[in-house]
Amino acid sequence: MRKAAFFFLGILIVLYCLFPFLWTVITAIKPPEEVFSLPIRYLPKRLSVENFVEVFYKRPFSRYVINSLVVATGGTILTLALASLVAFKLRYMPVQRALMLQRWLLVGAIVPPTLLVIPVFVAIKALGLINNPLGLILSYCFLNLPFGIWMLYAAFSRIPKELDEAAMIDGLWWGGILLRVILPLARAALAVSAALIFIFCWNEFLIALTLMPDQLRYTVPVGISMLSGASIYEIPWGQINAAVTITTVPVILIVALLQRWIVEGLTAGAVKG
Amino acid sequence: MAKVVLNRVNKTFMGGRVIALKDVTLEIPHGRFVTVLGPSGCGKSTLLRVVAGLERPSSGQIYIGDRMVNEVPPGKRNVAMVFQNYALYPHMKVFENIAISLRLRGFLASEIRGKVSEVAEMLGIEGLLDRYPRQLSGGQQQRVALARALVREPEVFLLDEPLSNLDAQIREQTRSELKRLFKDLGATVIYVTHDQAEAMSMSDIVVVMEAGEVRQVGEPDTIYRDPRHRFVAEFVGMQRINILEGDLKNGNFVSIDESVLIPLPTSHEGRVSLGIRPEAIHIGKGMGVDLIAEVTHIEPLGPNKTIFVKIGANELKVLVRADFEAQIGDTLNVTFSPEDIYLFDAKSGKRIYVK
Amino acid sequence: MRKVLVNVSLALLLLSITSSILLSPSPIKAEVLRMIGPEDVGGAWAEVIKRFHERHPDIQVKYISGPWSTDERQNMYIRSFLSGDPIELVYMDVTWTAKFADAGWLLPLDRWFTPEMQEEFLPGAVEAGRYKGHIYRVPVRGDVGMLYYRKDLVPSPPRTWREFEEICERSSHPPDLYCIVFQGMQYEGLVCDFLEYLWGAGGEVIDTEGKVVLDSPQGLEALKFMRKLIERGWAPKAVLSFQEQHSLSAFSQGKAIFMRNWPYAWTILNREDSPLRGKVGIVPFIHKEGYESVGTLGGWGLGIARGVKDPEKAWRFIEFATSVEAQKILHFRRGAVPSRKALFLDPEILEVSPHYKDLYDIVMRARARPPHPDYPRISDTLQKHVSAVLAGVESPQQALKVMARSIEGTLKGKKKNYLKRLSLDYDLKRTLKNTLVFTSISVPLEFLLGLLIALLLNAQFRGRWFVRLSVLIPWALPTAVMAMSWQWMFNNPFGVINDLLLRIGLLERPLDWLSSPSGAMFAAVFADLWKTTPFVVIILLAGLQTIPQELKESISIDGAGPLRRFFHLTFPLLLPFVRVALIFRVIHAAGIFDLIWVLTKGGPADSTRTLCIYIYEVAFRYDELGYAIFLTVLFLFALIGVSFLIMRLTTLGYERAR
Repeated sequence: MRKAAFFFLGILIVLYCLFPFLWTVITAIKPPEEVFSLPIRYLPKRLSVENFVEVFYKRPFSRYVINSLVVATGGTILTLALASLVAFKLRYMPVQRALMLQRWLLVGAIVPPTLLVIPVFVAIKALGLINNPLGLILSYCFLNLPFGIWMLYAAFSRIPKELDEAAMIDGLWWGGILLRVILPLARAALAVSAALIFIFCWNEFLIALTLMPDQLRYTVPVGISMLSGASIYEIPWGQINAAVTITTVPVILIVALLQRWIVEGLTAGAVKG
Repeated sequence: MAKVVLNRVNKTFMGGRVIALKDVTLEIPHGRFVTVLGPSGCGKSTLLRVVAGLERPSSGQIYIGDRMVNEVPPGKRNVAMVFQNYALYPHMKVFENIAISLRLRGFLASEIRGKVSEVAEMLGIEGLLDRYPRQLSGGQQQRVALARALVREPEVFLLDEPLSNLDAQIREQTRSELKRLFKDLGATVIYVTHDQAEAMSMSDIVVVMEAGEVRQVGEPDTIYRDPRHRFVAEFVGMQRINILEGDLKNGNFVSIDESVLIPLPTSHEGRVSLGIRPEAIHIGKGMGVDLIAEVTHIEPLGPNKTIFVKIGANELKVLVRADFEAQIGDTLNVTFSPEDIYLFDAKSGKRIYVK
Repeated sequence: MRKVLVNVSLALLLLSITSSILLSPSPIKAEVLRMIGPEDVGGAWAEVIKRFHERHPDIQVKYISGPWSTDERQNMYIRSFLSGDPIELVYMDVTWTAKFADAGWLLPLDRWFTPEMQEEFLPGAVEAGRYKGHIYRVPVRGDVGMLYYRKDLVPSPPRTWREFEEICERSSHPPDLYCIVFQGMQYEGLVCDFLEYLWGAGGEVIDTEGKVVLDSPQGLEALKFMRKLIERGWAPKAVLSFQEQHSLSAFSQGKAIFMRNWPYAWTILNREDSPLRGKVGIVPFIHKEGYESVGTLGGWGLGIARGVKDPEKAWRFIEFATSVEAQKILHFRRGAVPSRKALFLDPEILEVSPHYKDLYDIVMRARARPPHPDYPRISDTLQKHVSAVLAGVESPQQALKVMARSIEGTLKGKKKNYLKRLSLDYDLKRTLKNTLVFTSISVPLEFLLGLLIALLLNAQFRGRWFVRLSVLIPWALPTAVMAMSWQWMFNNPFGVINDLLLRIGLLERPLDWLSSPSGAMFAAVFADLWKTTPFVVIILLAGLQTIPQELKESISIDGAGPLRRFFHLTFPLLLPFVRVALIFRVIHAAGIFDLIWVLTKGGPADSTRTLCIYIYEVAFRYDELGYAIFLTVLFLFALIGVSFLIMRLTTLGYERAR
């Protein structure tokens, strides 16, 4: 009896969580006329990929996707590289100091991008990197470093220092230890951090909006938000929903594959915090 | 104080794949200290939890006093439980920890204060009432857990291996304290442990369990002297009992390798396990059964010594005084009385009585 | 040794990558002159550019299609100036001149655009390109707001408000036939409409000495009249979400007798396939009895951005784009009103658009909006509150007072230091209130919901993993992108939310969610709830799972049922996790940007404008970086303070004990 109630509640929750996404997809696969038909059809009479075709044809959407990929991949790699180095160094510090540093990092991780956008903009402009993917990559790295260091430090500190010592005796220098011993052992944490950071960069809006004013450099979220009236009469909702679908499917895939580790990672963080 | 009765209680988990309690029928008289003894996985904790109401039996009835409590939730059964890890509420001060059950039952603040200090004094923790559990030592935490149970004045006390987390020295001391405490209260106690020494020294009645079944119920002395099941004989005793496998044929016990032959006045036939305690075997001749054995190993044990001897393929342990001289390889005469022999059916483990 | 080598080569690699990216030219640079404009319907600009390329093959011009909203395109230009890579040809609205020139983003055109040349253009249009004595802009097209009317429904068009009201009383019957449609959304277009009522009643925003005189009896009349249009049902409530294209759409579908719009609509309405072909007339906009009719001057012109490599080439294009030939192309293909006086008498044009004779008159009387470098800010203030009045959120008196005070505050505050400005900053107070409302509704709700879901997920049941996965999804999806989906779902009439609620029976009539202040706030809260509850669930679930089973059993033996178990045990032990989640959430909610920016842009009537949107606008729209940084720092301190407070309040004694 109770099990049935739980199951039913579970279904409600699933619907609540997935409905917006599902509706977006449904709208996207409707042929353009059906998008605006009244009364609203919940199941399309026929399926069509017209919206998707239009999106790539009318706007430089493929450009947006490429921009996003470049920025997200670059940001992730750079962040993890730096975070590994820092976390590695932290390992050798006495635990007390490292924990204190961690707490400060947590503060850094909490600050919302909206607060940092102006200083970041000023800094990137000074470097002359406006409209340059590198500018965005650097910014994302800066924003995600606290989180990356936090996750990697947690994983690294679980590796016994004896391994380092054995490696040193075997003749490895610090870089070798990092590359050959530590990183492979911390694979899981690396994967989760990579996934989460990638998702963050992929989804990020405000900083991308500010640092890439040139239309051809838009990342996907910015590009989608600028999709406005193609004709005098209407906003191309069919196309917009198609674009949203394209943008969100990769994220969902990543989350589906890594859900258990993502939850573990966040959980561990919460317990520590 | 009430008596507790379990009638044909079964408990299975995982859709019947794991049987924790098998047809257990047991009566625990009121005011007695009863220990449920057995190795891990034997079902003793499950039995406790079923009485507490934390698990529902798959079949069978539970009575506390005269009430059948199968449908009664744990909070209403009027039992108190002391957990192995004490289960103290970390966010409440010691006073609160003790008082909470009274508060939940609607006692007045003044009453609560009175009862809590009474119990605290009884256990010597009146100075700790203002602290948090994390600030206490293991022993102190245990007393708080006890105090919490005592203050409830329940019909039954349930204790789940409460001493296993204590250091060895404190354990012995606490053992006697607990025994005295509950005796003074005249409490009905169900105490679960895997430590047979504990069980033997503290209980009025011992219940031995193996694999979900009750093997024997009785006073410690009886359990020791008159085991009804091979498992009981093996589990109880300072040192593990010696077991020889063999057959009963024509009134004789013959070990499997036929190196040991003991005549016994019984008409029973078949494969049996023969048990003889190390402390019942003596060096020399003439107690009724005489055997010759070779020394294989010697273990000093304080005032005593354990000598391992071999007869054929069979190994026996003999408990002797420390000043007995022996060397590995020596040949010894060992002897024991046939009255100290226990015979068990090899398949079922049940005791076979002779004469 | 090897170590050193690796280090050095890594460094060199990094250096070379960095410098190559830094030094490499942007792929779009090199000799291409860019301009941003709205969608090139009819291919007018394509034609102009094509002909230009034929004559000047050495100059490349590129037309970038931007969003329909002029505010958006202005933002794009501003961002390009700020970024150091300015868009070369500045296709600007009349109101941008003062700001752009004042910021030094424009090249003065005096040496090319001589007074003799200026004579050929409409005076008002030329004036709109002048700032502090220099000329920065050559008008490409003129525009003036006017009244369109259905000749077949109304034989003689009204000139005064009273005449207008009479017609509305008599002939309109909503919802099938409204009296008038206009631009009522919170954007620049609304200011144009408003000024026509204001000036038509004899009112002013700023007088000749620079004093703010908006709060006057005339101003009140104007606002009251506008409000009346909606209250009486003469204009549909949906007007609050109308820009030019929406009012045109409604009018051409025969939904209204009158329309306020720009001249371009005429051409579209008289196309071959238009149902209203031949049935439409134009007159100057209505005015209050005893005053004059005034149309707001609109129009677009071209300027040159400072920093362009070869301004001479840019000028060539501008010269061509404003020539008689080009203006004719723009007119015929797009209905653009020329900026050259002569063209109003040109026979080719008059043949197709005979109404241009009348239009000349209207256009010569057009008035420009207050030319002030802070115009965007002034416009913002006017937009906000006029739409508030239209939405019925503010009373006309209140709105007038607020507008006048806000504009005063802006003008005065510019001269003071930041601290003083803080107290003068009326907009800030308003956004603080919005942020507070948003946070205090959203956070408790999502904690409640999150807690319930976490409790549910803590129990075992079939398919639990799938529920857990679903719960993660909303949090992982990009906020800004999903906000578009939410816009679609809250849409009226195509929105699925209205549809579902109607079907269930919770609603009687479909709601205009995003057009009403409370509806928009609700939509924002709901969308935010959807997105962030998962985060709360995960953290609380983690917390629930750290509570040892023994404790739960112990307290149930002690006599606590599920409810009391929760209060005495679960919740206190959950507090450390509640603390973490709470701090995260409060900070996030207070700093919310993405969602609101895309969903409502802070509207309607600024009812969803939160603190971070305001700070962003101060920095990037009003170009006041210093003040924005000041506000950011204050905000940061406030957040730190709130975090400490939360930590204090949620830490129980036992955590501090040692």
